[in-house]
Amino acid sequence: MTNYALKASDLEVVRGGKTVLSGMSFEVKQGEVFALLGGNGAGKSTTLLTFMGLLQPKGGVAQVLGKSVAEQPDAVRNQIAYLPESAALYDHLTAWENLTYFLSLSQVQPASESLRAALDAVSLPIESRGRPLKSYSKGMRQKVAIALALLRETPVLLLDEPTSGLDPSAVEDFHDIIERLANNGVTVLMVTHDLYGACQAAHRVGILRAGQLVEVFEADADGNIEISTVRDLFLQQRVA
Amino acid sequence: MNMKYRIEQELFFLLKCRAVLGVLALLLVVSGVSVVLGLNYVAAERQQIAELVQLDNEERAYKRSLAYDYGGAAYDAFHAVWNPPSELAFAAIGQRDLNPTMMRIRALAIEGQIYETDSVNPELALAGRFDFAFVAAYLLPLVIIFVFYDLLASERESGRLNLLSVTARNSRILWLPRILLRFVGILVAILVPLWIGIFIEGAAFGLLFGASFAVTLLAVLWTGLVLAIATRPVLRSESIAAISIGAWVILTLAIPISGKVYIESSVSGVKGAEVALVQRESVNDAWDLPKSVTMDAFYASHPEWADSAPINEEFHWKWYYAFQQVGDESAAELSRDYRAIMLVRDELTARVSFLSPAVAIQRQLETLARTNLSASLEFEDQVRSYHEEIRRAYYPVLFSEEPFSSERLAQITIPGFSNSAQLAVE
Repeated sequence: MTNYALKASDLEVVRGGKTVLSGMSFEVKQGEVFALLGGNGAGKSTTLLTFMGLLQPKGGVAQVLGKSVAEQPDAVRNQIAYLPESAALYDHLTAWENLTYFLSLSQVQPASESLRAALDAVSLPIESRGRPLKSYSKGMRQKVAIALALLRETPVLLLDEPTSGLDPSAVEDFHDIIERLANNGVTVLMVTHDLYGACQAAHRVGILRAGQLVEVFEADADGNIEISTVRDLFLQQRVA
Repeated sequence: MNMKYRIEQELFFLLKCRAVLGVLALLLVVSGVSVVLGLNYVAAERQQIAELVQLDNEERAYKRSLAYDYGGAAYDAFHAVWNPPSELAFAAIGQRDLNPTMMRIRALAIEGQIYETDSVNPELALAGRFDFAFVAAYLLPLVIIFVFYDLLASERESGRLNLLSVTARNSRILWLPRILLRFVGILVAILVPLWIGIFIEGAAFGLLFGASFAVTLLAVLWTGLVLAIATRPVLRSESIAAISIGAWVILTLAIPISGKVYIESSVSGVKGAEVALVQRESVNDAWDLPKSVTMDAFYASHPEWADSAPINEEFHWKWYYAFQQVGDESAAELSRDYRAIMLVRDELTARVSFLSPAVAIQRQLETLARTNLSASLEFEDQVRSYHEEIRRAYYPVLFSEEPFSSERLAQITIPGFSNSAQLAVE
């Protein structure tokens, strides 16, 4: 039994006739935070969609906790929580109602205390919790989506530009949450073009270019990743 | 944690969707209005029939009191005939709008009396009635399109679909309750007014079940069609709406109209008014023909009166009623042709219904409500039979040339018109 929570083996994914991922291979250990950095069109979101079973690879295998995504998509999805870039929740429902509705899809009936704790954890103002999301800022919506991901209590978390729209304070809170989850054994795969955020939150950072993983940087013994090195390569790749 | 909680949540979600709720409420109102109008229509018909029967009896008794010969008594004696609405007629007015449902007939030639209305309401035949069958055939599919067309596309276009797909334990848990609740909502909105109408009318359970089943089947068909289009991943919501409306135009408008045009052009021939015209011309011509020509023709079909005394007078009632009957006989073949044409057209319309759910549901409801063509033809047959009873009741005194007496006239009794639904009137 592998201790890899996520594993991509020679993944090849084609979208709209164009090869988006080509020969992509990496592993993410249980309790590890792995960030994929890349510019637009590098294949970041495609990687996430493939792990969610929403895109079928043309070649290679994506595995979650040892299960092939292509062969057991439902079983894999039950192990995954997903945070989209744009927190697309229901505008006409309140934060509370959104969480309750989405969790019912996972056949989870949350206790009020759990909902309150999750919303507290993402620092969503109490006075806004009973209002429909259409009155929320983008950052507040993102907090509700993060709360949903927390409430799912899954062993794997997939994040697509998770700090997009969050203010600096909320970004700090989010990184704390990620660190706490990782310490509790949750595996996190985040895709982003936030270089600094990735280096701050992740144990490893991979640079994605044109559907291929070109470099992986690992945190040192103190848990730090040399930002300047990553930045130089990232910018070099973008220019290329 | 079970499906019940999931359905509760989906119900809560549905109750928060104002647009869908608004359309369902509109369907409920429109269905309710159609049922109320239908109930009023049949109530008015029943009222008219009841008044007709009462006044008819009173007038006939009065006219008889004034009679001084049998021919004149028969001439003045109108007899009400009626085709009362069934317990489901309120939902599907059908042919009752086109063909006569109540008349006052007398011993004169019958064909003209039956087809008299054919020349007076052709415009109504085109427009049709706003009844429950109309709501089911034409408006229900539009509501289904509105409720389901962006079921998937709206989630995809708002960027929610991936989150929903990953969060849901499986796609069945995500979509089944949502589709099911909306479908049930549509059925409730359209059927509850119908059920209330059926309850008020006291119709049998079989009619309730049959009508509900037909509407449900139509809703399943349209929901399946719209979902088949709406779940195409390449289509945007506006394209799905356009394709669905296109399907509605084809299935509920283009095919029925094309079918009607085809049927009318390919099965043309006698019209009801022509039958009446031929019969009336025959009757009118008889005034100028030698009486023996008319009487010979009459005796050929009524040999039991062939030994009746020859007619020497310029006018004789038995000659008058003989040429009425000969007029009917001269139009009989034309009348049969007309009936055959109606049946052929009906058969072709039945074939069109395989291509058009709108035609199919209307025909099904009209069959259940006994407001279809066969019910109309059945009523015509009853009227003809009753007309024969009337004229044959007078023939003995006319052809044996009995001297007139009020006592003898009182002995000429004609039972009131009856049919299977007569009790409903009484």
